[in-house]
Amino acid sequence: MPIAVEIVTPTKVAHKSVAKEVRAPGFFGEFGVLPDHVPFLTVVEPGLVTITSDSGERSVFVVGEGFAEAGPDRLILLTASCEEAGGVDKSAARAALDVAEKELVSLDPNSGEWKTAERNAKLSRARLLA
Amino acid sequence: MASLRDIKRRIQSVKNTRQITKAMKMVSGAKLKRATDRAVAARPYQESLSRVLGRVAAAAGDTITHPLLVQHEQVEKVLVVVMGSDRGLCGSFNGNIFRRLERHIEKERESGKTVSLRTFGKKARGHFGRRNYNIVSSVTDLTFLGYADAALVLADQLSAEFANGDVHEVWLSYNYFKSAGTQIPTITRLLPLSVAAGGKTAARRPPRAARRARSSTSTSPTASVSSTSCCRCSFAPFSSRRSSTPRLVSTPRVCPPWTTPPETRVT
Repeated sequence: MPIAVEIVTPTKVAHKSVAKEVRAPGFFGEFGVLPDHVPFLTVVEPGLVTITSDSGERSVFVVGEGFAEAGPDRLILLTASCEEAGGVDKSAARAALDVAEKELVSLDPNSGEWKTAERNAKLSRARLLA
Repeated sequence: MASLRDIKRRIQSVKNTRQITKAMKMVSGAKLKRATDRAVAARPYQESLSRVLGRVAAAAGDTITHPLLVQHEQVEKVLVVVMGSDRGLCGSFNGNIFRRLERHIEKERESGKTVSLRTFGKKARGHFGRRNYNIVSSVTDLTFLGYADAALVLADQLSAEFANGDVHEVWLSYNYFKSAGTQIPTITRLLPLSVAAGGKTAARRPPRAARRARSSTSTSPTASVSSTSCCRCSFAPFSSRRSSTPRLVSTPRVCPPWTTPPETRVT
C-alpha cells in the first residue's frame, strides 16, 4: 500500500504524490516513513525531504520548519516553505546564512527577531545541503 | 439645441469612456481573481493545521502545557493585530471591522486594560493613527513583501512578546474571506491559544454564542504552568523566567551546536 504524500505551505499545496518511501528531517533527527508506519506527529526542522515514488524515482525538496503527521497510508507535512532542491540558489543561501549568523550574535536571544534569524540560518543551511 | 454634430461627438465620447472603463474592469477583475486564489490557496494549510491540532489536543487532553497555551495571571496589556487594506474604494471592507474593533477596544479599556495595536495596511494605520490609538508597528504594501513571510515574522514577534510577558493577550481582527462578495468581520483571541475540543482553534470564527460569552466574561485559566520546558522550544515557562536562578532543562537535550544553549537565554 503506497503512502499519500502532501506537502502544504501557507501559500499552496506544494507537492502531492503517491510514494513508497519518504525521508524527512525530524525534530530528533531524520526519519523515514514506509507504508504501514505507526501514526506519529513530529516537528520538522528545515532540511531536505526525499520522496521515492513507486517506480523508484526520487524527488528532493528543501522545506522550512513545520510539522509532519504520518499514518499507515499518508504523510502530511505542514511547512513554512517548500522548494525543489534543483532550483536552489546556493550563493544567495550562503549570503543569507552569513547575515543570519551575524544577527544571531548581535540580537537579544529572547526577541522575536532572534528567532527569525535562527530560522533563516537553519533554512539557509538546508539550502546549502541541497 | 444640440446640433447633429454635437450629438455624434457626444456618442463617440461615451463610446470611448465605455472602452476605458471596460479595460479598467478587466484589470481589476484579474486582480481580484489573483487575490481570491491566494486567499483560497491558504485554506488547505489552515485546515490541516486545525485538524492536526485538534487530534493532538484530543489525544493529550488536559495534560498539554505549552507557554502559548498558558493564561497570564493578570491581563493588563492587550495587543491587537489589525488587518486592513492598503487602498480604499472597497465599500465597507475596512469600516465594518474598524468600527467593531473600536467597540471591542472600548470595552477592554473600561475593564482597565491598555490596548496597543499592530496594524497591517495603510487604511488601518490611517484610521487608528488619526484616533490616537497606540500603534506599536505598522506594515503596509504587504502585497509586495509576501504574506507568508510576513506572517512568520509576526508569529515570532507575537509569541516572543507573549511568552516574555510584554503583552498578556493577543487579539486578531480581520475580515474572514467567505467569498469575494462576503467578508465577515472577525475579532478573535490569538494568544493564549485555545484549542477547542472540536478540533478547531480559536483562529477560526467561533460560533456567535461562544463569541458573546467570551467577550463578556474573562476566559477561564487554561493550562497549568510546567516547571520545565522542552529545550528546543525557546520558551521558558513564566515561573522560571521570573526567577533569577538559571532554569534546569531536563527534557531532551538535542540542541544543534549552532543554537544558544537554553540555559544561557535566561536573563
